[in-house]
Amino acid sequence: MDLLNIESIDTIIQLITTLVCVIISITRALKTGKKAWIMLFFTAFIYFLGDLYWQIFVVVHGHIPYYSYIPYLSWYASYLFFILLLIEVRGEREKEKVNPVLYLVPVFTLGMAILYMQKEDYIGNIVCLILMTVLIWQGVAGLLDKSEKRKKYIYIAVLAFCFEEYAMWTSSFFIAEESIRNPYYWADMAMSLTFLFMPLALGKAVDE
Amino acid sequence: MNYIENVFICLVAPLLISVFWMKGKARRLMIFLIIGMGACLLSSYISTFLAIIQGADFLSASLEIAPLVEESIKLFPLLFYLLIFEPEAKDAANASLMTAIGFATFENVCFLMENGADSVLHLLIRGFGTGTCHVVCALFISIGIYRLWDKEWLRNIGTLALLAVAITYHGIFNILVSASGAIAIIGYFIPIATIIVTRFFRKELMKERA
Repeated sequence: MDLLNIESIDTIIQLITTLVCVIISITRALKTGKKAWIMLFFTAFIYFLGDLYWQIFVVVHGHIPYYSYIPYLSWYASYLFFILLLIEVRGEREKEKVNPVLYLVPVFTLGMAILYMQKEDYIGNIVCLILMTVLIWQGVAGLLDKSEKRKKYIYIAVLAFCFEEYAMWTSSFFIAEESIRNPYYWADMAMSLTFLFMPLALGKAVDE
Repeated sequence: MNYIENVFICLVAPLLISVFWMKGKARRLMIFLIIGMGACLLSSYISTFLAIIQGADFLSASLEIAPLVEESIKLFPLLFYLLIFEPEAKDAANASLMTAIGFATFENVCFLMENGADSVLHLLIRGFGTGTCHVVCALFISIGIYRLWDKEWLRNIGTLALLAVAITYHGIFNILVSASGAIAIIGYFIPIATIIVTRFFRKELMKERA
């Protein structure tokens, strides 16, 4: 079995960067005891496990999984942990007036979900729609909050992650080619780099 | 036909009797041990049912369906306990561990029924490997209950998110042990290594939230 194809190289790079994020965040979590670091640990860890499951399956059995429930579940769970991370970073807040810009978030996510549903997988798309709407909403709301300048990098990192996910889904919707020319792999590499940026951004938000 | 239900009744009967004579925490832990064994039996039915519906062969079912079903079924009693009885973190975490231990014990009994008990070395590796895998998965859930969730709704959502961690970890374990030779041995030792590492940081990980 050829492990030097673009798909495997891409996954291996992502395994390395998510593992780096896992190690940094667990080290910081054990040192500072802050919940935000534990959340980042679980976010990166579950994403790492999803990639690892996929890659080990390919290595051991020579083909991708027939039923991809487990890796997809782990990637969805990482979105959930991102939401919990942002809730932790933003902290308790009073009910505040919603910025009208935020209403663009569900418009965007719903529109994209309708596009992706052309290829069926209704349940997966609905789950992504809900999780991504909440996640992007939290990220944009944090970014728009002028009193949270110190935390803006973590919001930018999470929004970059969401943008890269959408870039991957959209490119794989239109292009199935397994080569470096496919933008899917560029977006995936960018996501790998985003995982390296996450601990720096979170450190600025909660440790300084 | 291996009459696993009969074995279940035989194993659970003395434990059930003991429940009537125990009190307090010991009784609660014994009940979760029995629930864990029942969860193992139930999940074998559900996995088989889903495998038939999906048209999956034995290998695909054990690698891609069983971890999902087993970890979910194991979690339901705990979720029920969390939602209805609102226990203290320590009690909930212990309940999660006892369910996992009951599950692993009955799974090992099923393995013995199917494969015999003639190779003590293999049984030793498998017994510790599989048993520890279930305990590690329960540990993920326990760490969340202890350390992370200070609000009711956060605890429920967070526990579900940690379920995905347990499922994927269990899935990776199953893939590795389904191979042969060194890969399988590595697979059996990963949960043991995980539990040794977490034991070092036990104080930090199990520090109750403020």
